[in-house]
Amino acid sequence: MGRKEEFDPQVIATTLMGCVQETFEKMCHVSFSQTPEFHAKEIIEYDSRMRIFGLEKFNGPCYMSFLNFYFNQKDFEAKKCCGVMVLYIEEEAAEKLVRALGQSGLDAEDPEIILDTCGEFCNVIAGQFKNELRSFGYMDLVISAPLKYHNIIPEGVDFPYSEHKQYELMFYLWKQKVVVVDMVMAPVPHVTQ
Amino acid sequence: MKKILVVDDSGVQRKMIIQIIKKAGFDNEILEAADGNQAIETLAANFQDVGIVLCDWNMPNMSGLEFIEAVAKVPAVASIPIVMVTTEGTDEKIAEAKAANPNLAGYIPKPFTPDQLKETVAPILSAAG
Repeated sequence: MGRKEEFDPQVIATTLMGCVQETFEKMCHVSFSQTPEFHAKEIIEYDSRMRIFGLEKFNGPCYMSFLNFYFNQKDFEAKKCCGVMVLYIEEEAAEKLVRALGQSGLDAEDPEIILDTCGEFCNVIAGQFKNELRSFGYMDLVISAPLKYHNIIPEGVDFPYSEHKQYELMFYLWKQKVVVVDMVMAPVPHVTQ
Repeated sequence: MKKILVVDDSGVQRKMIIQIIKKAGFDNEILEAADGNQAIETLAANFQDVGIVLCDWNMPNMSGLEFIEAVAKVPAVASIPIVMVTTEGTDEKIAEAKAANPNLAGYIPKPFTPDQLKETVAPILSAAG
C-alpha cells in the first residue's frame, strides 16, 4: 500500500473516454460523431446521497445504470465506496444501441432488455476503467454489480464523502448527445506492480 | 456433439455469447448458468457431454475464479477446456486465473468483438467434436 495522490481530472476524463469509446465500438460497432466533452461540477447531495436525475441530461427520457468502486473487498462488504460511475443513455439511442449489438438477437423493444443491456455497458466500461487504473500503477479496485433505472434514481447513489466534484463526460452518436457518464472518484493509492 | 456451458450472471451477456456461437455455425446444445454454483450443478449433470465452458469472473454466490478452481480439483472435469470471458483483464488477473486452473484454454477480456470470441472458441469446439 502506498501514498495517496490527487487524481488529475484530465487523466480520469481521458481514460474514461477511451473506455466508453472502446466499449461501444467493440460491442455495437458505432463510432462517436465528435470529440466527447468533459466538465467538472459540484456534487449535489441530498440525504447523504448524490442526487441523480436522468431527465436533465437529454431533456427527455433515458436509461441509467450505476455502480460503485471500492478500495478492497472489506470496504465493499462495509459499503464504504471510493467512487461511483453513472451511465445515462438517451432512450431512443439505447434502443438503437441494443439493435446495433447486431448478432445478439436481443429484443430492442423490450424495456427490461434495454435496461439489462445498459447495465452490461456500465459494467464493461467500469471494468475497463479499473484495469486502466491498475496498468497506471494504481490499486486494483473492486466494483459492485450495476443497478439499472429509467429516468431517475429516486434514492440517489452512494458516493465518497471526501469528494465535492463530479466529472461529467458527454458523448455524441449520430450527431446527437446520447451518452453521458458521471464519475466521482476519491484519490486511489499507488501500489507497487 | 459436445455441449457448451455459458456461465455469466448477465442474461444479456449470455444471450450475446450464444448468438455469436450460433452465428459462427456451431449447432452444439448450449447450457446456461448464472453463477459458479449453478455452473457446478450443471456440469455435474452433464460432465461427460460438455466440451467447453465460457465463464465470467465476477458473479454472485460463487465467482468464476472459485468455479474454475473447483473444476481443476475434480479429475472427471478438470480437462474440460475453460475460457474466461470477463472485464478482469489485467495481467495479474490472467495469471491468477491460470494459477487457479492450469488447463485454462483461453482468456477474452470484455468488451470483445464477435470475431475475438469466434477465433478463441472455434478451434476448441472443433477439437472437442
